Amino acid sequence: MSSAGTVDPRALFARLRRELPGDILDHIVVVGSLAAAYHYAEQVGRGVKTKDADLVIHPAGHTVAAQEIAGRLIQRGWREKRDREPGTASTPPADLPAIRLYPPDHDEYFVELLMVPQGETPGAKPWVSVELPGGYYGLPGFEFLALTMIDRQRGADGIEYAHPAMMALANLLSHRELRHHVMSAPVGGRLVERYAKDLGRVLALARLASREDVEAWAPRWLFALQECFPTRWPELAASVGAGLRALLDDAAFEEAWHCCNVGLLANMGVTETQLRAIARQVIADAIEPVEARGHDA
Amino acid sequence: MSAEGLREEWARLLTVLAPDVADRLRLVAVLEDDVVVLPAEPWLCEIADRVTSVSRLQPRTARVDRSFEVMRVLLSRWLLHRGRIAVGELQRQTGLSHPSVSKALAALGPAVERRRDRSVALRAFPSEAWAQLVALAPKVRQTAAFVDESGRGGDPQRLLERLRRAPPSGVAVAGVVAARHWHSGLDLEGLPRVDLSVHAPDGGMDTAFVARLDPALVPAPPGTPPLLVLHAVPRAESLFAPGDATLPWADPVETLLDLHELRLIEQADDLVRALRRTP
Repeated sequence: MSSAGTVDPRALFARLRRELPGDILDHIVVVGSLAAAYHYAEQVGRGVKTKDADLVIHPAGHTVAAQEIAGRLIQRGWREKRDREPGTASTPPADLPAIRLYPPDHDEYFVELLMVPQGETPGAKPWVSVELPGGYYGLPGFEFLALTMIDRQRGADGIEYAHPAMMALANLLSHRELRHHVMSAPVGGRLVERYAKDLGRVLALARLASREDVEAWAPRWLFALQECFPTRWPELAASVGAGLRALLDDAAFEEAWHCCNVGLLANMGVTETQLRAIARQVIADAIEPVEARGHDA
Repeated sequence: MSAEGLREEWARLLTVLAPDVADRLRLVAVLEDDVVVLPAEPWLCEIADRVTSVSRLQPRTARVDRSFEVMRVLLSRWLLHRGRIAVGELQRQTGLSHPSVSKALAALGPAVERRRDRSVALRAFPSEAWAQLVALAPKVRQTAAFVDESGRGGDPQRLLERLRRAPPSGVAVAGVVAARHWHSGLDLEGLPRVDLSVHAPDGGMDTAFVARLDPALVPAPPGTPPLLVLHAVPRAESLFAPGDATLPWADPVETLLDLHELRLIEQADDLVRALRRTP
């Protein structure tokens, strides 16, 4: 399945199908680079460098389901990926390690569980404390993760995954302001700003899509915003491109380019100049129509 | 300053400088209608060539050349079987003064048929004047060329579709697409690039619509095949023909010049024959 640190996204989906219990599959949606690589498998081929299958548990706010899913996987022999020791009942949730589990008999990938937060309250979402046999773990739920539940796609293996347009929208909204936060884990051997990695992902998705696909993102985005944020959507729509525009003038654009070239766009030979042109196209094709609707609302 | 004047000034300058300084100085000057390279060393000539190529691709706003407009209007009418045109109307359409129109008509010589009612028409295809225009076209046609900087390759057909969705005013489809409009039987495969004619009666070509059309389009570096080429139409009347409800067509002469620029000479000749065959 893997060569030179890369995995074939289709093969990884097939393994998830085989190795996860069927009823659990009904409650998870794959997001992140694996979902993107699967959607654009023709272009990406075997080139995605991730061992991380981010699984969002739905419906929103279903902590019990998350606990049950993790517990059942552990019962079936899935092993905790311990980057740090689990906490106790008194550990603040934000200090708890995330739930990361290896399959019973190999380390070729691991799953990480995420949760869709309920409601549309702005700001960072508190992690939810979950008790597992080994101790307490945290279940993260990001502010805009709910968007990835809209327009979900179903792969050939029957596994659901987030549509690239929705992952792009969630990333854009998460970084409308460029806040300094260097990621703790290096990306392709370099420590990079979180916003550069996430906004770079938006550009990678746009590069893998056709111009027509990116133009079609705008109506999808508006629908998703109105669905997930019925009161906040005009403000969110009106500011959706602020971070990407700022990135074009930011020194960390080069980091975004680096993340693309060691990630989804590896081996495609995309230059920084080309990536900047793609950013301008995304702004014109998808962002500006959505911002206009936000301003008009 | 003329090229000759520049050479004289340069020679004078070198005489007042210390020899070790003068020996190190070089001059490359790309003028409106000449190039001066002193001394004429190959590497300096290469620089001059590159500067000339770049300046040819940039929109030029100074000294718009309208000297061929009389011939172009008459040729367009001849190709489209439009008959004679009053000199006053010719003056209005070209935006030229009466003396300029008279001078241009005189230059066309016996190719022009003049009537007592002060109307004129071409008798035949003005081969000599046309050859002169084709040869000078890179210089007299105000041109701007663009490439797609996104690395997606750029699809001329898609670009044309985007243009038709939000057609800018004063812009007509030219080149290969217009050639097919004027003669559907033309032997032309594919679409190498999009050619547009931009009406610029005031001399300056407005290229702002290009960034709205596709923000990945940037001026083409020398030697790079462009995806989009704009040519200014500097006369008072654009003579654009009504198009398919979105964009008009450039007149046949603009189209012919584009075909020559694309080195589609046979197709250009076929287009002339086809238009003259069809009344």
